[in-house]
Amino acid sequence: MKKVLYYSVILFFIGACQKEINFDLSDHQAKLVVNGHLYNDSLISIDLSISGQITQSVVQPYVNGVVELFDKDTNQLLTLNNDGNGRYFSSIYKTQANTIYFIKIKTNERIYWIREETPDTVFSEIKDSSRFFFQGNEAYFQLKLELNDKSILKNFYEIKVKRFYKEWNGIDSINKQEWVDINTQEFVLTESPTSRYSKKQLLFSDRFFNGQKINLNLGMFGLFNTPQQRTTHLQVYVSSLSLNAFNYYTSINEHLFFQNDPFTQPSQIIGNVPDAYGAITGRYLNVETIVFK
Amino acid sequence: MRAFIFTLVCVLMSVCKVHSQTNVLEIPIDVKLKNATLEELLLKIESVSDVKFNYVASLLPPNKQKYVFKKVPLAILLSQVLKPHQLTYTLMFGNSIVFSPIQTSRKVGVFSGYVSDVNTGEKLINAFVIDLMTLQSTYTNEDGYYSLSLKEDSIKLMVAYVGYENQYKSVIWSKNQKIDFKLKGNFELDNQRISAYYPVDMKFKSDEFVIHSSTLKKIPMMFGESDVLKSLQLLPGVIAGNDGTIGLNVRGGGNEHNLFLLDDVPIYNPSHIYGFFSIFNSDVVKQVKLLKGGNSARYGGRLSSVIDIRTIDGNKERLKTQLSIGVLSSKISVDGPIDKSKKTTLMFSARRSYLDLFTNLLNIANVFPTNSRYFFYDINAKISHQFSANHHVTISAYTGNDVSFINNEFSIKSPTQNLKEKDRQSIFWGNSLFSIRDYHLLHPKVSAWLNLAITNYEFGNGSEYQYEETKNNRIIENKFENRFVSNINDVITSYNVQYNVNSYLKIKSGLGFTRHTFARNIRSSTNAVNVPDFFESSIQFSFEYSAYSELQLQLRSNFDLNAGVYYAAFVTNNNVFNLPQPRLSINYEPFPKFYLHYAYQRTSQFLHLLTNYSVGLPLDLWLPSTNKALPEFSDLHSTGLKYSGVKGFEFGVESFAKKLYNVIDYKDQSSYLGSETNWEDKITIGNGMARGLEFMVEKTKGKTSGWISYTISKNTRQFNEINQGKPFLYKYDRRHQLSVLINHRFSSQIDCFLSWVYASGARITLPEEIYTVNNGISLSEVFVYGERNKYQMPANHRLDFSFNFKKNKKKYTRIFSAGVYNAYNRLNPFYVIPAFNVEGNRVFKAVSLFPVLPSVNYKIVF
Repeated sequence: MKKVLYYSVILFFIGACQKEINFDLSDHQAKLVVNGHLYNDSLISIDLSISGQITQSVVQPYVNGVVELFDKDTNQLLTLNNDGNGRYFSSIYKTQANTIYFIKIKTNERIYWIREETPDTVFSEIKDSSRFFFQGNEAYFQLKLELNDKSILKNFYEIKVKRFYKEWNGIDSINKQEWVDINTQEFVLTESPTSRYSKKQLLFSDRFFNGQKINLNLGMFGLFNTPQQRTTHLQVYVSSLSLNAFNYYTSINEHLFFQNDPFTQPSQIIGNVPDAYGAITGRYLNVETIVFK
Repeated sequence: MRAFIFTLVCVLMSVCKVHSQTNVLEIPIDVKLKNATLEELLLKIESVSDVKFNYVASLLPPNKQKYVFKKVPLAILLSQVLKPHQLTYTLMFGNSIVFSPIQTSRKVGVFSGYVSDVNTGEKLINAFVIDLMTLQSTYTNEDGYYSLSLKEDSIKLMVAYVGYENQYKSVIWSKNQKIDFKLKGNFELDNQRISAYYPVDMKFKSDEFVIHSSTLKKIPMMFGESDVLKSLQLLPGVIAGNDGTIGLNVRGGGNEHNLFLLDDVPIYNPSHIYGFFSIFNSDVVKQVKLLKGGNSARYGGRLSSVIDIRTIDGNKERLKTQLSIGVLSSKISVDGPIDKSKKTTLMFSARRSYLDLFTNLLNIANVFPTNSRYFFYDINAKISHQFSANHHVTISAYTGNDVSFINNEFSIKSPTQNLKEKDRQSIFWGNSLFSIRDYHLLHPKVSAWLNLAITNYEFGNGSEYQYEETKNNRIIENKFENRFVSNINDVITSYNVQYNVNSYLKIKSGLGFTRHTFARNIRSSTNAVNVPDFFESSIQFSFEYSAYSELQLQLRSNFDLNAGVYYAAFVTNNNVFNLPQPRLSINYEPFPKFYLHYAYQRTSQFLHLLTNYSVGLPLDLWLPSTNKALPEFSDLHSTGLKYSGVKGFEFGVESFAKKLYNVIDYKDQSSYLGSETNWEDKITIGNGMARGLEFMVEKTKGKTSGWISYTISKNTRQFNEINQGKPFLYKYDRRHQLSVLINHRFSSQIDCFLSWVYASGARITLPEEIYTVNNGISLSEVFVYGERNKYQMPANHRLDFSFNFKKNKKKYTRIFSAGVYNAYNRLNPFYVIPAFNVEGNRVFKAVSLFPVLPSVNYKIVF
């Protein structure tokens, strides 16, 4: 009987297989791809690359560009350095919160203009944290975060948690880090259908607590339950985002969520670079650290 | 002597007005006389058969003429040769036929009654009733009732029905007469269609196709599960969805544009197992009717087609039990009378899959250990009570569910520690309905029925987590539960009247009201401190009012017309949408056996389906029309011709052009939501256009019967916000579709069905470009998709066959079926994904789900 079952199932799954097929794809016209971040009090970093045909496995960096930064009155502030590998950066100049910037990207073919406004300061504080036991081991961690939305304007936020841990390979310990999944039942964090696209990056707006303080309970599983690992500390990243950043990250998460689902309409990534892909996004970042002894 | 016999006949006929005749009149006659009198013809017939004619010679005309009949039933032959001379006939003593003059009455008499199965008492829908003398004909309605208004004294009624012996009755005229027919089933007979012998053939309804349960149960299907909806995929104009699914795309419409009716009650999601099987249990299905154009005005609410499924009422003669064991599921069906007077019948059927038992076995065998379970079940029940010959009431119920869940449990029990952990994730969906049908025969010409029904479709998912630990007198408890349920519930009431004014004119009218309730509940609870329970509930009501009226008019013996209008008004959120929907269908027979047909219909649909493009998946959401998402409507013109002049064959060609308005789709590159929040912002409305030609050749006689159907069609959509406003091909624009169905009867106990289908590949949107993004978490490769549905998947084709072995035992009948699905193991693509090949290059891969699948089914009927 076991054999019959075994062979029946094997037969079914062998038959239900994947087969490579060729499509006559349209001619590919490469486009510029921009990935840039404007953080508060941080150096600027912008990556330029070129989109490839789907069958290409390597994306080419764009190394011949010129990237310049302008203020809201289009006065040039600086020209970014080119590292020759597609990265354009400032050595000294730092962007500020709540400021409008224009970025000009000049390629061999054309010029692109991007407008981005860095968001206002974020006010957040970790109020409490607790550790729960699971199957005899310490496995669940919960923290209470206070977020103060002082502005009556519409604001967008992002919460991420990075875990730093030591891993033993038998002889040595290696320091590692990873973004962790955040579990929450909080209404403001789960009410939007887009909230399910990523557990590592919680993206939400202030529409249910505009101008008010709110306490958010966040939980994390699996921080402690591997004998070979020991979590040393957590970093809690709370950011206020520009609208462009919020749309960009949300659409990326949505796209990645559905990317391998053949039954959905593909989702579009919402950038802010006209006639090109990608975005330059502004954020105000606040990082707090929880150390485990 | 002959005069004496004639007188005797008249006396006998006046005493016994109704005389049942069957055998002699069915004898096929082969006669070819170039120049002969009628008497010579009769002598010739006597010489080639056992029939004896008795007549007064002076009644017969002396003139000579040509008589050519090739295997024409005697009843038809006599009607054709006697009618011009105002003569009629009566069968006496088994094989003696007596002639007499026709005497036309001045008044019209109404001949009506029910047509039913002699063994089960089951009423037969769409049985063909004809008076062979006047050639006036009709069909029985959904309650097996017919009515003919006839003038002549001598009336020869014949009733024909698929898989049953024809029955004849001679009747003497009277004002109102009730004549019931009880037909005898005969599996030796052709079971596809009624033969083309009769002077007025089955009326040409190329837009309409009926599959009877006897055929339905034998068509080979996946896992041997006969499936109503998959059988319809073999018909012209019906484009299948993905391979193996029940998707029906009728003449350019989508699956959401089909109205599925189970005993007149709409079903919102007729699928089990994520769309691979339909919910309709073939053991209780009496008849399936597909209307793909020229619909009766009584149907409304969907754009493309009506799939009208009728279940059996229950055996009136004896209790019948059917047990069936298949690869996927088992069924039990019981039907029969529940009182001595046999006025009340019961039908009950239950089916359950055992995929979960199969996964249990896998666990035991440790082949693929899994904690996931899946099963479906459905239950049909019906009680019919005949209060009188003119009044009966039917109460029907259906419930069915699909449940899929993953259970994880963990526990430790020791003197110092007691730990228990449970985790359960589930998804479930199902339909349930309840209906009461009250049928009254108000007058031999007037029947009326009241329908009261509730139909409900529910989809939900949930997760539960429970953790309890007692250690060193310390108790830790964690608990949370989430549950999401979305459902649509309709309360329906309608009243319908059919008035058979005379044999040439019928009027049908009705009124209807439906209250739609769209509800969504989200519940979340936990025992965590500072986390309150969350409960959100939304409910929305919409009201649909409808009225219809239609005329069925036979203008001449070879020309009939069906014209009507369906009017519907939809009220939701202070918006009122209304639309009159005219319907027209014309049939004309310019030459014998050659039929022309034209139909026009406008249909509307007030409910939109937000679908994730996989046919029948439970995550589909039904939503009402709004100011942004206006009601959908369509116009369909179809023309066709049919020729049945070649004995045993029917040839049909039909063309159609359908325009769809206000159909919805997701905007370019916006994804399926899984929630109706802001759904209006995600969708766009546009138009569609479908054109096509359908061909069908059907063999109706002989041991080998079946059909070949071919459809060539083009189906496009156009939306301002999709594809830069340019028209694009619909996902299921399968340009060519060919189906072959062959049934061969080896004997009365063994037969074989074989089907082969070919369809052009479905359309698909593919990624054309790739680039890298940084979302602050990681670098990820993302795709840029090309034009909507620009590419085409490889074609689908598949061969299925099944053998059915029937054996009558003393106390029961057993039927054993064995079959093979996808006999030559064609890997039909189900979907296409980008993936990496062994060399590490990104390529496209087509994923196929169903290889060759043998199946067996064992059934006992007692």
